[in-house]
Amino acid sequence: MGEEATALPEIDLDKVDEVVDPFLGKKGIMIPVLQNLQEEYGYLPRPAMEKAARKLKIPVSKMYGVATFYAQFHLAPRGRNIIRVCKGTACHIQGASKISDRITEILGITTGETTEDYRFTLEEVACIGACALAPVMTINDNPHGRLTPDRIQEILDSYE
Amino acid sequence: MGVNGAVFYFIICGGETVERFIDPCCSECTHTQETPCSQFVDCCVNGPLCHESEECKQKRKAIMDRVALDSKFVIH
Amino acid sequence: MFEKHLMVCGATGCLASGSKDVTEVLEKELSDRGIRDKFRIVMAGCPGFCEVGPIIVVYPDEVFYCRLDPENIAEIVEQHFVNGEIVEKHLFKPPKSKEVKRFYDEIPFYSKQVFNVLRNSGRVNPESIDEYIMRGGYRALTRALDMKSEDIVEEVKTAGLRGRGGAGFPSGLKWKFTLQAPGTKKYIVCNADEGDPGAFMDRSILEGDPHAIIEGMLIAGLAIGSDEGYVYCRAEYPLAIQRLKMAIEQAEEYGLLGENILGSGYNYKLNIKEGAGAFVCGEETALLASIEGKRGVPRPRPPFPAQKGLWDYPTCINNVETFANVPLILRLGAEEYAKVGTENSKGTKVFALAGKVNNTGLVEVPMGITIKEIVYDVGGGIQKDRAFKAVQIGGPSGGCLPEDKLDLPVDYDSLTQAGAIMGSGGMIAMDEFTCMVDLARYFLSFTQNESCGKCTPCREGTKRMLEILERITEGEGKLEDLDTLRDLASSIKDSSLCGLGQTAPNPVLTTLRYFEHEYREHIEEKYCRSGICKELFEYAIDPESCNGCRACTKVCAVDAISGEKKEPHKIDVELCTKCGSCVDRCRQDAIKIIRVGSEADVQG
Repeated sequence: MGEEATALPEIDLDKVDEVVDPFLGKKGIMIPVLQNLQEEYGYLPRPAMEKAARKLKIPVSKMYGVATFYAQFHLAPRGRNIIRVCKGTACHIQGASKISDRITEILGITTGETTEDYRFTLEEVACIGACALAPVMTINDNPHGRLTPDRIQEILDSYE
Repeated sequence: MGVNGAVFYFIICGGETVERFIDPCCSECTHTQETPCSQFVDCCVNGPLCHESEECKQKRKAIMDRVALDSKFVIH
Repeated sequence: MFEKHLMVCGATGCLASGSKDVTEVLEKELSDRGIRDKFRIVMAGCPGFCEVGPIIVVYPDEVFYCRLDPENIAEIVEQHFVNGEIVEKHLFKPPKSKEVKRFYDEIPFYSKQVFNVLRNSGRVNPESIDEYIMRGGYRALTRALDMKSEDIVEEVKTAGLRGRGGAGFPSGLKWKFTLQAPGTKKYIVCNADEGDPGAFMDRSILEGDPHAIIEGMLIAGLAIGSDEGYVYCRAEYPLAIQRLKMAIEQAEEYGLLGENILGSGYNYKLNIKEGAGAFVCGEETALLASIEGKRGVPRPRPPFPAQKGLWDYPTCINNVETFANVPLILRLGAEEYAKVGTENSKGTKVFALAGKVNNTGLVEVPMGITIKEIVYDVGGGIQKDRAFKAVQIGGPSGGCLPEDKLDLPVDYDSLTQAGAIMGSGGMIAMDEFTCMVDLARYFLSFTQNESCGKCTPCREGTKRMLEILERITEGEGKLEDLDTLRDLASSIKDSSLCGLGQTAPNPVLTTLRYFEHEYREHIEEKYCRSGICKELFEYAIDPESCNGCRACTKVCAVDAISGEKKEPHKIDVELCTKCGSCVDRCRQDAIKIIRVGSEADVQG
């Protein structure tokens, strides 16, 4: 795509102050700071991380190390709809890979990728704990259970 | 999801009686976060323990009767 | 006073199957009839039987309505709640039985369960501290406040409580070490970083009975002399976190948490830390690093956290289920508590029973029960009456046990001896359509992916093992691979830094031990009998069984199935993507798994 319309908005770095200030002077706060930054921006923009690290007097490299260690943090913007295919054991033996294969077939993205129009991001989770409904996926926290490959198209169509 | 409980208590009690164990049954009860009573927990289900009052007893019982599913529910 | 209490399961499993909509309609139907005031609706904790959700249990009648849909509610309200007649068609009906089960305690799923940890789940409003107190809550704390630290530790030791998070280390001993460790400050940490795929016990406990965790931690604090604790919970469990936060606020308001608890002079501060998605953080030293805000990588032990833990202070780490057991021990007394269980494994264990059993859900069983009883009596047997192949216990650190281990009692030592572990409590039953090689590959790809990379045996060793397993599942395996796998497995077990690496080879080792023939079949015959490894089988329709109903042709996304109506169909192996949709749809069981290139024998 790459058109003007889908370009991402400018990053407002003032928000970093709002996020970081309540944590100043406390210990063990790097993860909550990153969690709140991501809440604010939807992902972790590099300039925001740099500013936060400066304020907290932590090397950016250290913050980057933490951000890349945990699966929860994203360094690039993500889609409007987040698909999480459960790859827990129950889902695996009930055919979860057939579900993600079908999604890849339809959207042309694999795990960790985002469609060019930022409509979908595809992720895997280890277990969402709805094993009775296996195989399961969630889209924006809405669970879809007892999936079969032939139902995927219809479900994806219902998300803009 | 959790509003049910609180809303119910309000509707049912209309503020006439105590709604929760933390509310004092009468002026005899002094348990608060700041002035704690060591017998508080036992008092909730078997109280009052520091004074005799049928009325206060009934207030405690009313809290339990509202939510007890059956006769085995409350563990005395 | 309420006429009836309607306990709607509000745990994640039932929410996923629509219990929120059911509740909304319930509210509306009752209000429309002007009888809303007579009923108490509670979004309760998990009653366990996720398979048949959404569930409403009606008290005091103890009527169990299941598999509900918002459309069923009007009927139940009218017929049962207004006219007093139970609506039979929404009651539970065991598979292959015509007899409906009206009451909670008649349902076979519940008959062999013992509710210790889940005693309140589904029966109380988890957001009410009053109800927890009514159910005997905080009575154990009151008792512990009058006891000496040593005596509390002794009581937990006598009760025989062992860690419910994995290895089964005696909790009393762990507490004793932390109590004896010198330190000006000590911490209690609750490990709620339940990362095992296929496990959701801890989440259900936190969602269904959060005060039990708080009380357990308070007692542990008294036992080791700590005044501050952390609950480290996965961020993927938002409802659990919300419930716990609410419970902490209530306990503080009631003077059961905070300064000068119940006038005893004991202070306790409880914090919640949200994890950020790293399986290795379930390992205790990695978890501590994560609370400190660092990358969650483990460090060598000793020193153990009991000596040098959070910010280098002595720290006692236990799992959610372990803490949930503590109030019970102190309330009932160690001897009474220890009446349930076996000689070396006391009490109960909660399992998340899933996979190909009829009744999936959360179950709590006494230690010493056999696997068979769990799978067949509680779990109701294998779906579609297929053959049982194996049960996987303990997730990526555990192992697979075959049919001849069905009579094994479930306790720490028996399971370890058989090659599995109790683990945190995931239990997955598998049938003939589960490939054991693929399962080993699946678990290894999980641990490989979650390996933090700090130590070489785990980082590189699991990678090499995974490569071999991938090769075998793709039909490129060699017989000597099996020896290489065993060699690698034993080196990784011996030399990895933490529990993740040390246990990572278990799924491979147990499948090799009990299902070596399947590995050999993959390698020597290039055949996957379970129809999972795509290169190693084909589908064919058995003309004898096919009645030409055309059901399969409708689900085939690539139009690989052809044939006239009421005539046997054929699968074009060139077009077939082996998605398996047709197999699930066929009512005649006519679609067979065959060796590659042998379709002429079947399809004629």
